[in-house]
Amino acid sequence: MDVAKLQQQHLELTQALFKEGFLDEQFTQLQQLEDPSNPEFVAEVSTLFFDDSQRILAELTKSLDGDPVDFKKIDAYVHQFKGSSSSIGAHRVKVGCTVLRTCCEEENREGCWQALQQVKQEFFLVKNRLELLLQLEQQILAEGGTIPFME
Amino acid sequence: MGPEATKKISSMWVDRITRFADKRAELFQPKWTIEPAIADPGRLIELLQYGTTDFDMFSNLTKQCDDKQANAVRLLREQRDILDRQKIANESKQREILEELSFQVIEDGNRPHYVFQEEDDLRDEAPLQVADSKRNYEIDEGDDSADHWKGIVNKLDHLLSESLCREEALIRQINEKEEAENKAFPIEELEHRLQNMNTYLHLAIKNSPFVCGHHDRELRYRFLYHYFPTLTEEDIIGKRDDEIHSGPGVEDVVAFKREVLCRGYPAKREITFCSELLGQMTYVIAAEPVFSKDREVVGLNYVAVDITKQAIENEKLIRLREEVAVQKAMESELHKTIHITEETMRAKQMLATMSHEIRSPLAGVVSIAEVLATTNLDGEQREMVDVMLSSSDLILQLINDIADLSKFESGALKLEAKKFRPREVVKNVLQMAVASMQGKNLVLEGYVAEEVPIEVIGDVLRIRQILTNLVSNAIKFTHQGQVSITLRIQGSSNNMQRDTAGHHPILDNANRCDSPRMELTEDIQNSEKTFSIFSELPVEGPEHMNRDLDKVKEANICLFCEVCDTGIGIPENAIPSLFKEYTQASSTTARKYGGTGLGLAICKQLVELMGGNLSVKSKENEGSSFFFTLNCKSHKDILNRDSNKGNKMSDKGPHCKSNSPSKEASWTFTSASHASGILPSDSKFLLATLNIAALDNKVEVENFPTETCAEGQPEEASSKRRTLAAASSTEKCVKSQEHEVMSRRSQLEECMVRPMEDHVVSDQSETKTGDSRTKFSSSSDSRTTNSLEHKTANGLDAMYSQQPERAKLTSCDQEKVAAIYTQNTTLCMHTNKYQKEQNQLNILLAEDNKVNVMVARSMLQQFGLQLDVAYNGAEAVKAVKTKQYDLILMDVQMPIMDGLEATQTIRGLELQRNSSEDDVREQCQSTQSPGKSQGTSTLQYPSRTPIVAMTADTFPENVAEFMAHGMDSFVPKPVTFKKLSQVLREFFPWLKEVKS
Repeated sequence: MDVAKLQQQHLELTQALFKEGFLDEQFTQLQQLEDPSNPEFVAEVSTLFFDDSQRILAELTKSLDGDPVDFKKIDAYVHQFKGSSSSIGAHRVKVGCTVLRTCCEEENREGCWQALQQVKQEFFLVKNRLELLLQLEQQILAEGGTIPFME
Repeated sequence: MGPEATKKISSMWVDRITRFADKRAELFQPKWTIEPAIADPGRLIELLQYGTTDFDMFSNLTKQCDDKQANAVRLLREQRDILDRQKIANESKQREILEELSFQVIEDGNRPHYVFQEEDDLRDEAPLQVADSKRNYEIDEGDDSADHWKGIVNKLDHLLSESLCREEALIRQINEKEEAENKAFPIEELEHRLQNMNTYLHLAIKNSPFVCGHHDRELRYRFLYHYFPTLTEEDIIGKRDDEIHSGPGVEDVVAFKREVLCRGYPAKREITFCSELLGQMTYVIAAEPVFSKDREVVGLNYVAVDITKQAIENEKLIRLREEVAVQKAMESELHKTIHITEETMRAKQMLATMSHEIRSPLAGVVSIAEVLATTNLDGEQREMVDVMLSSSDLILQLINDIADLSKFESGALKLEAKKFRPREVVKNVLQMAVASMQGKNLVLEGYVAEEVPIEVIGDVLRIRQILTNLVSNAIKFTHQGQVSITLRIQGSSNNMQRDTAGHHPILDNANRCDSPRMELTEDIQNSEKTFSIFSELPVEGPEHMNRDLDKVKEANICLFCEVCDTGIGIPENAIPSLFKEYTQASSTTARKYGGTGLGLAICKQLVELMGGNLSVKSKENEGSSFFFTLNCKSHKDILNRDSNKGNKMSDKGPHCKSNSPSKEASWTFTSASHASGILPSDSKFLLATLNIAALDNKVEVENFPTETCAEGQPEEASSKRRTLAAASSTEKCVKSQEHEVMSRRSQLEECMVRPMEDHVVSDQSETKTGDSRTKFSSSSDSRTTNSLEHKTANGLDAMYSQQPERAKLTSCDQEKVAAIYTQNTTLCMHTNKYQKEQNQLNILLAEDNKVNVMVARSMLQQFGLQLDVAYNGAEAVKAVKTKQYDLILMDVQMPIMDGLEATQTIRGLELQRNSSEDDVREQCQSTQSPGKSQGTSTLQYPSRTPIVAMTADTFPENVAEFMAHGMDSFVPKPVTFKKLSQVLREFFPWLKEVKS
């Protein structure tokens, strides 16, 4: 595919991600950190984020199924998840985490459950989009182009 | 019909009323008895005779009677007229009959004639014997003779006369009737009418709450109607109101009636009685004068209506209205107050927010200015930068003060309860105070009484803040003499003695300077006791300590702190407003000395928050003394543990730093007692907590074995007295001299602005800095030499002329340093690794989140920095144990051990390490020969690693908590490159991004 077209796609996708609130400026921070010495930084961080998050989500689901529910444990996980989503700029996931944390503080199991579903959904949404974006980046790089940077 | 109609019309109203009244009377009369009014009948007749008004009814009645009578007469007359006419008609008829008869008698004379056929009414009165006449006629019919006619005529004559008789009787009857009526009507009818009227009247007024009465000219009752009469006639008639009853209101009513009598006009008035007869009652009284025919006042009628209830209600209403009005006024007042309060709150809130907002950019300005000051500047430029620094420092201070104040007001300020060492606090405060001396010739002194425990529990930050504030204030307003801090336990007899002996420099500062012997002996009392034990009989030390400690083991102690100066003093009239916000003793003071006027207000609030009270004693031109008490707890566990340490330390004992800024100023700090227990390292820690990290490496404290040999010269006494001078080891003297020279050099070479680097500089890159040492200013050389010479000359080698470099720096360039020194919380000048290559910096990241770690790592890579990562607090502590880090980035919330705890632990480690190195250093000092090597070893102070909190929670109070736990700064999460580099540059201003 044409590099310019790919770049255009990349740009549009990024813009959409920002517009829809999936990502915030923290993601830009990450993009800015990417340089020739560290060309795949965003991809690396994202992958790490995905893996870590999936682990946390699994833990969360397990914890919520427990009886009695260990809200402290859940809180610790959510804190982690919130921290990493905030670091990567996954805005909607972060917001979901905030809700989940509030429910957790209230020890509201039902609320936690719902919030967790929400967080999961947001996470997988952003994951799909980001993976697509990263894929595009790979293609662009493979075609010898540079990754466009959205101001 | 005409006369009939007139009759009806004319008599109509009378008839109707009468009928009506009759009916009513029939209805009501049996049911109620007319209440008797109390009246004087004689008076009524009198009135009837010559009164004019008020007798209408009477004359009306008479007139009615007359009318009725006249009417009856008229009716009778009419009847008589009718009868007369009938009579005439009859007569004429009679004549006709007679004539006819005379003819008929001839023609048919036996026809019968009925005379007076219609006159049935009169038949009884004058019975007509028709039958007879008929019979007579019939008899006579057959008889046609003259006799017969004569007989008939006679009979008719007889009949006629009889008719006339009847007529007469009728007329008589009429007349009689007329007469009878004339007689009967006036009395009976009138009586009847009056009765009706009376009944009516009574009916109308029966249940009305009203009184009516009549007075004669003397206002004596002649008539009274009362709806609930309780008085008999004798009580009323002929008496005046005031003769009947008495009480408030009675006089009024008499006066009112009199007035009406005099004026001759009706009037109304509301009068409230309170008499035994009526009780509390209010009447509205309408009075009207009664006139005689010749318009003379003969009496007075009045009507009074009971309006007590209404009056009470009215009063209530008025009261209610008043209350409502008052309430409304209050409400509006309240609203105003609320509004003002809200406004004030808003203003304060804004002020607080603003302060916070201003602080951050200002910090940027200050740090850049400081960086600027490190660059090569010419004299003018340097001056400008200095001004910049000192100005921005002032703003920063003001903002901090405001933020503090708003914290008090919002109640957001929380006190900590942590153990601290009062001696350290005093020492550090004094050390810092040197910075603000600005070339003044002052003696700074500290005294911590023997019985003050080594460690107490309280909010050290705040206590230090108070002391710092008071001391800097004292220095500001003192031009010569001394400023001293005294710390003791309140109520201790030992101190009482001290107190009375004149521990108030205000009162006897001069004495102290001139005749220090006294002071000295006092001190020696303490010091001898303790120091002899420690230095000569060390074995006994612990016992002694324990004894002392037992004394303070009782948990609560009351620390008495006093800051005295010999300054300009405070005029008496300014003292009351001294602690108010934004107030200074006078506007001239403000102009001359500057300052925000917030310091003392903050101190006072702080002291009060800690359950104490801040007071002041002052004498103009002699000095001031601020003193306060603090309730602290002593820490038992620590005491015991530390007693040994204290013991050990005690032979390092008191520290005396003499600093001769420009000429011969020296400040002393000694703990006159046994338990100095001051670890240099400790001091560092504490100082660092205060974020005056810059001091850390500067403060060199030499500890000498002490002995009270210091019976020195008077002029040295002030320092000596706390110094417990160790006897005469010239070696030490030389050593200290050496040391001083060395430190002076390093300090000069670094040009004051990065004072912390000194040690490291000489330590790590001696060769580099070697050249720059030639920059030594001779002045400082001479200064030190001066002081040293002075001291040695006095044989007071125990005067620890060993200067903290920092202090020296200050003395070299006080203004600048002052600017740097004053609590600049954000600007920590951890520039000790200046010379280190960027990539050589050891940075530890304590963070449990892998993503965050990756991001942070990548960001630091931009600077070419490498990271060690600890995944929780415990790991971080472990890492710190094995490696010396230049910076630690610490996530606050971590599993196993959180950032705060880890920081505390790390600070504790540093403390230990530093103290152990102290010992090492000491050994070095005693064994090594004076020289560079010695200097170097002294400079091997392990630094206090800056710890930066990483947190999403950046509320000021939380940030304050981080600081209190020993952290130096923070980066808000999520970490951005900009924020991270800002924080990094706080500590390593020279950091450059490495563009790859």
